[in-house]
Formats: sequence, C-alpha cells, structure tokens
Amino acid sequence: MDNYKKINLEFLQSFTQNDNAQMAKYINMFLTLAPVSINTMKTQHECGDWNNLRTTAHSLKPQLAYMGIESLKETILRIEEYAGEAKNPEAIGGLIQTVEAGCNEAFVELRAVIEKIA
Amino acid sequence: MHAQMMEDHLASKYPNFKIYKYSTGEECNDNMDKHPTIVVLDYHLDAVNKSARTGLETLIHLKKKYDHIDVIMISGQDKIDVAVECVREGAFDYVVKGPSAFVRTEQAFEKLFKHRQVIHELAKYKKLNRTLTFSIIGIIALAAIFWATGIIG
Repeated sequence: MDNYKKINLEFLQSFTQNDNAQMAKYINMFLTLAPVSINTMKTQHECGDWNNLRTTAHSLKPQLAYMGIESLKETILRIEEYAGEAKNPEAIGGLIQTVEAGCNEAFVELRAVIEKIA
Repeated sequence: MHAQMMEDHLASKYPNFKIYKYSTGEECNDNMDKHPTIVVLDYHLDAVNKSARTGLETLIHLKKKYDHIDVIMISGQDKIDVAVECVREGAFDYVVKGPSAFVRTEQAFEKLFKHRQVIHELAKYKKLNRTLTFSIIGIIALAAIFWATGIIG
C-alpha cells in the first residue's frame, strides 16, 4: 500500500487479510458514516447539546482508529472530554474543525485507495 | 461500523455459530426466543436512538431474566470504573473498542469456553462425589446391619 499522509491501513489490511473487497466495504462505510458524524457534532455543538456531542465523538473515535487516522486521536479524545464536562465550548468548535479538516484529507486518500483496489 | 466488523470477525472465527445483530437492547430482548448463549453488548446502545435502553440497562435486564446467558460488554470507554460496573452487573468480560477489540473479544470467547468447561467438570465431580458419599454411607449402614444381626463379626 502506498504511503499516505493521513491514513494508515495496516490494521485494516491485517483485519481483512488483504481482502480488497472487504477493505473497500469498510472504507465505504467510513466514507458514509464519518461525514454524518462530523455534521452531527457541528449541530450538537451549535445547540450546546454536550451529552450527545460526547456520544457522537465517542462513536467516531474507533472508526478513526480503524482507518489509522492517528493524527486525530488526541483531538477526538479532547472533544469527548470537554463535551463530557460541558466546558470550553469555543475550544470544542475549533477541535471539531480540526477533525473535519483532517477527515476531509483522509477522505481524499481513502477514495484513492478505493479506486486503486476496485 | 464496529458492529459490522465484529459480526464479520466472529463469523469468520466461529463459522458454526449463528450470529444475530440488533441495533437496540429492546430488539435484542425481543429476539431472546432464539436462545442465544452469548450476547456481545455495546455499552453505548443509545448512541443512535436516544430513547433506547443503554447497554448497561440492557445488561442488567438480561442478567435478571436470563442468568444463564454470558454477556461480553464492548465500549469505547477505557475507564476502569465503567468496566468494573459492567462486571459487577454480571458481564463476563469487558472489551474496549478499537483495533485490538476483535482479538480481545476472541480471547474473551475462549476464556468463556474454558470457564464453561470448568463449570461442567465441577458439576460432574460434584455429582460423582455425591454418588460416592451415598455409596460409602450405604456400605457402612449395611456393615452395621450385618454386624448387629451377627452375620459378620
């Protein structure tokens, strides 16, 4: 697999035993679910719905790990932590933006992977 | 996504198992007539449907109604108090979501099979022990009768 800046598919390759169809299935799931989670987090942040924001961040966390997006690990943890304590709303907004920007880069790389293995 | 990956993983590791997947605890409870022996339960079952029962509430309900079923809890929470709470409420094991969760769940399954084997063996030995005890008491009683009636001694 090529060297990518945002993603690391070592886990996914090992999990699927290099089965391209399986890999594409999980990558497509991520490409469908992650943007929804990011938009949900943005809405929940605007509404000050901290408890649900914590849950959404919590659900996105393992998905980022499966795609090997290590650079967002700390950021998503901070969102979960701050939302859980209902503190730093401004910081949370910035953190969500970081996740969105990082994920957008990852989406581009993941789409390239899909094209390559399809 | 995690649920789908877990289902695929367990299906490939245990091809003889019938696996059913439900998105809420209520749905799981409605399908208990399928007589599952193991339930893998997400701690955050209310993540999508906010009015749904939480994983912990589902665990408590299942253990109260179907104590013979072993429950393995899965959660993104790596806080020890969450794990302790689940085990206290009757979960057999607790697995943290993430890339290691699949191997950890497999290990929990293996631990559970060994545990069941030990319970089974223990029940067998208890039964054997009871039979032996009754036999010895019977022999002593017979010997006492023979001795009292002068057949022996």
